[in-house]
Amino acid sequence: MKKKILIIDDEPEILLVSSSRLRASGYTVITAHNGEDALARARSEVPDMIIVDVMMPPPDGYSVCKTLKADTLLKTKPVLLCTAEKKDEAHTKSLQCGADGYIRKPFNSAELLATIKKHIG
Amino acid sequence: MDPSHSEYARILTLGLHKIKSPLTVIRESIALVEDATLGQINDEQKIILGTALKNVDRLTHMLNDINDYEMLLLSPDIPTSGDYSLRSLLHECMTELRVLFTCWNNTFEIDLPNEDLYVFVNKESFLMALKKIIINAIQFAPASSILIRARNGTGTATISVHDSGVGIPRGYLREIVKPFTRFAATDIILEGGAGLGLTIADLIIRRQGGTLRVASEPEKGTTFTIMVPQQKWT
Repeated sequence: MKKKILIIDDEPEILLVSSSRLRASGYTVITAHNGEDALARARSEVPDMIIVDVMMPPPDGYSVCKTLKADTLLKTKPVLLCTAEKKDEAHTKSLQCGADGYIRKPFNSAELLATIKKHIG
Repeated sequence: MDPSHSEYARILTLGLHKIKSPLTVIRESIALVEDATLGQINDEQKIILGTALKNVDRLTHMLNDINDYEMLLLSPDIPTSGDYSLRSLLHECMTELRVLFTCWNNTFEIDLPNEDLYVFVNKESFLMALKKIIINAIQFAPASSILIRARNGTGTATISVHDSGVGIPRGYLREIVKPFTRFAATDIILEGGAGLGLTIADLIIRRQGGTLRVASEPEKGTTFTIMVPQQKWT
């Protein structure tokens, strides 16, 4: 059975290219374009993994991650932050909000797929 | 930091973050076609798209370098420092650069004294400077071995990074840490920085009470030598 990934980003074009890449790599992809929509989708679809952009209108990616990690149904699902921050900053902030990892923009697909594979195969 | 500088730094960082979203879309759109995920392409198309990808990565490195340099200029204060094991710092630095060494067929050798050296530096800044110097060595000497050697001095630790690349013409040695300095031999673009890497490294090291020196012989290689204090300085 295909693994399901929820991608959350307020930029539709990021959703478009990321979805295309992940579908081509054998994943089922669902998307959300803001934090509130994402939480509702995550609770109804229970994806295997969630990729969330940090820089979104409130609630931002860090808040979304904290909420996901506090949710009984979703707290075990790996959350990957997508960030444009520097490595040290990204590392610290991802730890602080309970994320399972991060990927830095502009990411390359090999890096993205390797990170996903590490968490959900 | 001056409040007006602080606001400028905030806007600069925010702007850089914003630019990285369209860069991500451009990079991934090209990659989806270039790696044939969306259908077969011919060899010439692959080369052209590969060139486009390389230049998106180059643009990203340029933006990062310009941002790092601007932030250093905006924050003239000496950053908070502490005592760090040079062995651990080098290990962290080389772990981060391992992929780059593999990509460009470089190997490295580290020569440290038996007894570990401690340096009094700001860890994050020092690692940034060290990485930029080593990346510069890779850029000038692909497919070769880079020697990193550390020695104990009188209150000073000396770390040298030696490459066996094309070398720097004598007339450019004084210019090499100035912004955007390039000379004829450096038409090899690997990491593809903005020409600010050594400028940033030099500024960081000087702010931490150290010095950066360069010695070079055309066609034989270049040695960058960092000297940093081993204990708190005033």
